[in-house]
Amino acid sequence: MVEGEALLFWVTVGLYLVSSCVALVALVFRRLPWLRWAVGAMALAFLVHTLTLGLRWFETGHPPVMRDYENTLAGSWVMVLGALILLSRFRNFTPLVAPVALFVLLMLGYGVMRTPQAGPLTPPYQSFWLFTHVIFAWLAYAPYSLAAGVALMYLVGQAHPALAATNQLYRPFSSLEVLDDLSYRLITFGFVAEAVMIAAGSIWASRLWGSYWNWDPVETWALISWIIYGIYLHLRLFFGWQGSRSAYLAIFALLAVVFSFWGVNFLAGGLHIFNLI
Amino acid sequence: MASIALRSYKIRPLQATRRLWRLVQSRELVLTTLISLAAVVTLGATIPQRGWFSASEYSLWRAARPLFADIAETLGLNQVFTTWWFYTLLGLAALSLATVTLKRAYRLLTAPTPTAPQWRWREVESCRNGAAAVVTGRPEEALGAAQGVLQQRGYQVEIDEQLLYAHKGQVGTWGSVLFHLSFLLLFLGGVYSLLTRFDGWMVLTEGQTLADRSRDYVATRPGALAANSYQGFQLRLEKFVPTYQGRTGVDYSSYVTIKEPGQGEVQGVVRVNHPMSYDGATILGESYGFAPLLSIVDGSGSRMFHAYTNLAVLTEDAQDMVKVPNTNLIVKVKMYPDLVETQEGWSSASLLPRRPALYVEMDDYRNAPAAGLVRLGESLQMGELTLTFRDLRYWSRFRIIRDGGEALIFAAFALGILGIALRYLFIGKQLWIRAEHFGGSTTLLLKAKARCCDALYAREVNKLAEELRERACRG
Repeated sequence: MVEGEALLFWVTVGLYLVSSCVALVALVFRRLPWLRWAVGAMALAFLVHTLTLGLRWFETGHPPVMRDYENTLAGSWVMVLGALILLSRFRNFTPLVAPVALFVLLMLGYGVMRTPQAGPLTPPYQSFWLFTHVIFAWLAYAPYSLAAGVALMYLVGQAHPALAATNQLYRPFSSLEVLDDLSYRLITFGFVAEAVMIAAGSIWASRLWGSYWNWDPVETWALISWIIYGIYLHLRLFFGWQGSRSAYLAIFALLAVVFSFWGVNFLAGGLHIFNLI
Repeated sequence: MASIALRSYKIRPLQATRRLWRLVQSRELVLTTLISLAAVVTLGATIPQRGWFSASEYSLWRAARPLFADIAETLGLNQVFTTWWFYTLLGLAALSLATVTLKRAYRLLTAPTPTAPQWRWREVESCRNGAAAVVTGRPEEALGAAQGVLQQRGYQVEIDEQLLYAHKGQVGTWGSVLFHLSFLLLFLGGVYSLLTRFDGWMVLTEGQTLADRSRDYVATRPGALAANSYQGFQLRLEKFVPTYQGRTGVDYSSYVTIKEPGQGEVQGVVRVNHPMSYDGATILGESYGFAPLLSIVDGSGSRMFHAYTNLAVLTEDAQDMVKVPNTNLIVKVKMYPDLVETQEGWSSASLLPRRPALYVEMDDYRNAPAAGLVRLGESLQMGELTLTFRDLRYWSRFRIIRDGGEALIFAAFALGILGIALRYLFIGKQLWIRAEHFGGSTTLLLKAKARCCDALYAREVNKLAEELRERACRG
């Protein structure tokens, strides 16, 4: 990182920290009007985050898709964008700020500890299909994560109806069935995006290695997570799996996604590490 | 009695066939094969597969867990993706998918077009989504206004007296069929590719020409139906140009010329992620290295060895070994592309061959071994043998692929994405509006259902009712 980017990065982190602290205080001490300030801080952090991303892109001359730092910088940006879009649609859903800002802080913290140094784009990464693959990966994984969160809300609401009736978090939703349907819609969006991700990755692999599918652990785990979501959709559409069964499956499926993106790096003693592709 | 027994014997195979056919068409089978595939693929992704690990890496894994490795090998779990039962599972999945999808497509094509909506209000009263709007005017006017609003939202509308029926998103049903058909296309493309694909590896030094024929490849991997599919063109590596930023390679370009008897020359560049295509063949660059020209002469001046030697290593970090044919002479080589002398010794200032030198160790098990630094144009003596470093070029390894199935596979991708987008962007929705006239106003009762996400459709229905009221107020 050069000086300008470092400054913007730490201002971003600071603003997300402010946002998460204000949101937590608001929720714990029931100062709900303060949540608007938390959303404002997150929106400001998002603007600075965008500048950071743009500066990184300008410095390196390529979209930020290489290694952990750039992936977490871009991925957290997509996550906050998704949260802000959701907040604009469900204005009462302001408590969402707390978990999103905290999670983004964790992601950025992990990324900055890894490889923040800017480097040239090595030839395997010089591909339009790679950028398409990475962008659709984030467009898939963000909705999957949100769907699992919504599914968790469904399960908690079902187990504690009194909480669902009174808690601010449930106010935008007229019933738990709406949460169930929302989870399903998020998963279908993610499923479409993951299909494009896998296809773009195959085309990239074909042009890079001469073979569109090699049953490599990384590719295979991405396929496994996609099949699991496909099973979810079939169970829901044809076998009536709605409600709590669907919610449990949405959460389980996210574990497969987490493993396919992160856990696969630890397979077989660190061989075929994703970061070194 | 015998005829009855015979009759029942004849029925059983037919019944069994019918049951089998029903099973093949069932969604339960589709789901079972999906789950089985997920489980098998998970095994394949968790247990090291022979194709992905070198022999030494696999041995290390095996040594750490011998019992598990024995079980895995017996069951073929270390080669899951090439076992007969994996192919059988894929075939079963394809068969199940084909029957279900084609049956569905047939039904969609032959289903009668609904000419009249469901006018029986009783049947739609139980829909979970409903709203009401009180508007001024007569029912015909109110329904006419509703028709305008719905058509603006993309609905197809029919009105019969005091009942309106609207629907949209029917194309989404075809999206599902297209998506599943794309898997069939993918399967067919994969099978075709497996049988007809040709992969060949060729190593060329700058200035060298080789031909697309069996003896010029260092390795080939043809499909069952592609054993002798050579085109015979000649491939010449004119120049290999790597570009570095510091010690990080940012570009590797192989400038090649392709010639075919009776046809002109074609020149092109093979770069990483940018393979070259020629007459149905795809040429990719896989790796590269240095190829020093080493010349070894004996005491009488006879040349024992004179060839460009492809080194596997690019820098002094590792050593390469060359065995001179028909002799006991072993030559170990370390490459310094850009030699500089420092306090710690010799190193390379960069990866470009600006000041190339070799650190050579020679041993023929007769004379005393010799070792030393040999710059370009210099020699090293060992007894009566003289090794000279005469020239330096690059070598590049190319992979030549002919795959007829690739087009099918990419067409399957496109069809699949189109289908899935249609399926989930166009959700089938149906809406009924009944107009009831009381005094000078009309009450519009709305009932609606969506093919999925019925609960989320409620918002749209409420917004629609709101819009109808506003439209009525504006007159």
